[in-house]
Amino acid sequence: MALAAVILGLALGLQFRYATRVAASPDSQAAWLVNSVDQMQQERTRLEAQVNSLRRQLDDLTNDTRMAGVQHDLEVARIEAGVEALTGPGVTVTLNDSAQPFTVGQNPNLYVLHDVDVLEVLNEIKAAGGEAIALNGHRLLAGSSIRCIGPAILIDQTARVTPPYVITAIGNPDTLAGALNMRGGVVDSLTFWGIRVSVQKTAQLTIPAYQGAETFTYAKPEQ
Amino acid sequence: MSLILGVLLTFQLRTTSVVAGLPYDESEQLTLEYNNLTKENAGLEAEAAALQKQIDTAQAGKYGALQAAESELKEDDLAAGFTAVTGPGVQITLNNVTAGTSANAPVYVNRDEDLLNLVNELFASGAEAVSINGQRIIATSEIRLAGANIDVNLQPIAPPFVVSAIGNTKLMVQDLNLPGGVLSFLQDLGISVSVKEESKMVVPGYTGHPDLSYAHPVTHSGG
Repeated sequence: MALAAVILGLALGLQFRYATRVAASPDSQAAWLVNSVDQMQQERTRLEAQVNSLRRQLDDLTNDTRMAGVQHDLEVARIEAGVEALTGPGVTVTLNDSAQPFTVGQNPNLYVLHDVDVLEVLNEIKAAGGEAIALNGHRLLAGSSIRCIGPAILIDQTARVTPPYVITAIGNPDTLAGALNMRGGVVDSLTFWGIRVSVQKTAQLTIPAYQGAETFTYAKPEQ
Repeated sequence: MSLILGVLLTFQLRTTSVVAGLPYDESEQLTLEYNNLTKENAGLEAEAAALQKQIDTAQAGKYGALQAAESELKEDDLAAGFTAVTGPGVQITLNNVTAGTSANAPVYVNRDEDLLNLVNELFASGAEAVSINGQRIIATSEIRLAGANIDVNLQPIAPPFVVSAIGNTKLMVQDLNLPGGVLSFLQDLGISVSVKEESKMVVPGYTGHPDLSYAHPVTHSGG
């Protein structure tokens, strides 16, 4: 009875919240913000295309056998810097919250995915020779971060993604899958909590370039 | 009574502050996105300008093409983390605390996941370059227990762990010291933690040779 009342109370609270949310018409500031973000995203897409086309032009101009050494170094640096889209074999790892129904007394927190879980899967992939990684289509680089915000994850403080979390990684598919599925490994410990994990070897997948540009404001090259 | 409790619970779960006509979460998220897009677009514009300059160089003189390729390499090396950088930052030292009594066994041993979380937290607070015991963290760096040591970039490191991060010092220190944050968590576990702010510090460049044999740039068909 008391429980039912609490549930009713929760429902009322939720209803009230929605009512206030609908009633509060977005004022000009919010509209301006939504609009600006939208415009800037379009601008970013345009700039990314421009940068890619310029890089291609430069590649054509410097495509010379006498520069093979520089070209090789450039390829390695570009992979780590995430400036271009990459293709190759690898794995696709899908993570989803537990489907198990909770029983009274259980801590539901243990059955939902946390940023730490995703971090550990990513770390395992790197340890197993993962060469390029994306999370829900967002390329991850040296300075990438993931943080839980409510039921979502914020990537690099910019992109908000919700489960299922799909990690794509280029590398040796057998080594990557083997490391993830190792007994007592990261997949084992996640499935223990009912987190749904699937690891699929993929013959060819594509990882997008990093969105935007990595800019250094504080760090300067050491002379 | 229970009803009131339920309603209160809902309010507590969902903080109500509706500032600009948008729920707090969303307006905060949009502001964040707006700031990041401003930074990213400026970065992309700078990148386009730099590439254009290199194209001009490549088209100009006899050694233009090589010069342009080398200049492009310098920039990608910096973004990849292959170059040592200098700037303001924080240095965090983690050490195992040994019991003062007869045994010299550590009371608590630093785990790889603690370092992984700390590094993630620093990047989320805007760190631009991070190293652990001299190993620069790049896109493919792992932080993983291997035998008795923790491996970073396949190099074994041992306590004390010295984490150096260049970036906005104020922001990093503020985030690190949040109640319930990563440092208080480590201190609760009994790890000795010290944080030092530096007006100028050096984070070394990555010195290994990343094995990148599976990832290839997507061929620019039609480009």
